[in-house]
Amino acid sequence: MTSRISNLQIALLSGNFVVSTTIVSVPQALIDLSMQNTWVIPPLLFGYIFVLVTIALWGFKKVKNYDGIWGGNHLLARGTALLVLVFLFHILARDLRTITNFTKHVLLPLTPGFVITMLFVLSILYIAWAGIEVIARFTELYFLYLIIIMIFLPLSLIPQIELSRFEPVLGLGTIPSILQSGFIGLASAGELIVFILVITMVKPIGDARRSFILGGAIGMFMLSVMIFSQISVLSAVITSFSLYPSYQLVQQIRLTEFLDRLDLVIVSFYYPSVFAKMAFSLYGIHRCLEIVLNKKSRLQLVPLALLAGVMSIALFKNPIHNYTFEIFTWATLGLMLELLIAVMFAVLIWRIRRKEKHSPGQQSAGSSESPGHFG
Amino acid sequence: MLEVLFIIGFLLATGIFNYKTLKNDKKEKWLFLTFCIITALSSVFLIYDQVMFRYTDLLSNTFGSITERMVGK
Repeated sequence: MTSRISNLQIALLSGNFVVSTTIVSVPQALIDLSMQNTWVIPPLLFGYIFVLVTIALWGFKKVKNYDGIWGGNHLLARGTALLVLVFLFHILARDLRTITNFTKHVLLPLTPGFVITMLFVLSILYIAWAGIEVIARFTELYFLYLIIIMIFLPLSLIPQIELSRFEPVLGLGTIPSILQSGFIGLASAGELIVFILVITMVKPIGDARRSFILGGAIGMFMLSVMIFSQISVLSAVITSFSLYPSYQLVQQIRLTEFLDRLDLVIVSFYYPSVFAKMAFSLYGIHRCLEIVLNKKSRLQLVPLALLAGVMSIALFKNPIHNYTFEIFTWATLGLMLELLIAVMFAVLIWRIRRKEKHSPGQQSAGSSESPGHFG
Repeated sequence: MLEVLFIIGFLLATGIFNYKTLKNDKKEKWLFLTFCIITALSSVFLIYDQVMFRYTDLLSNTFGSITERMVGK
């Protein structure tokens, strides 16, 4: 059965992918570099998302047989899928470790890290096993909660907000620090390029590019809200020294005397969004393997999920090692992989369009289903 | 050690519960076995944990240094 996802679902999936684990420690790294001027960064990152999606989907609307993009079984498609696989595997291992560290630090300090990782792995395996449609519906449901919470965050912190913390505002001398900070954020923002894997499942497919960009805009809006709240409530100096400033921010919410642990409620709404992101990463790895090996089977999800869990523990010595990888190593490595994937996908589309031009009779005879379409 | 046993046990259980599927499809069986062997071997890195750190350090020394140069740290 061919899986189908709507444009709204792809927008929410990509928005969730950009923002859900990014808000744990990336805002801190951005604020550390450009201090009170960091609010300028999300619009710049949105510009990068726009350019990246435009490069990747250049001429996409003119393709006649969309199923031929991944189902064509040619070398370029396999090469692109292999590159996305490497990209996604690093993202999944990194995210698993980031969220395990966060959980161990904030919620379960006495539970062994391996146990927390395996609980996450089994949860995301359960979601990914059900296929892209379930991941999309799950994201649609829980990401909306996260959006509501994010909008509620600055409103509930109004008494603590001090706009004077944004001063001095900009100036020519701040341009280098803003560019440096922007460079750190590029890789995290461009992670939504992985959705080229499921772009052929979007219906109606003509609006897919717009949905991608909308997803990026939602993600950057949420990042803006988080950065604005952190600077105005905690101040740029305190945020730059915190390990988890977003959690520290949530702890500042004091609505009533009896609701003094509202942070736990908010965290419980936040976790499903992270599960949705990691489940998509696992699904994406599996789909890449299906494209590369040309074999449909979901049984491989089990060893793949466990492998990701093992690697999330084995690759990083401690939370600081993970942080260094997430911020400094990933900024360049992720950026290079993203640009390479975007260019390779654009070439893939160009090749398919050229092929369609030269053999107009075969346009309707393409494969009806690309590999990896399980419900 | 318990971690490695858990990983191998989980993989074995998956294989046993899907025995019929694996028996009927030869390609799927070999793919599943290959991934299981890779995962089981990788789980040994949980005991000898210095091995995989070198991979991350290599990436950090290569790409992390480029980032540090870009951001002036």
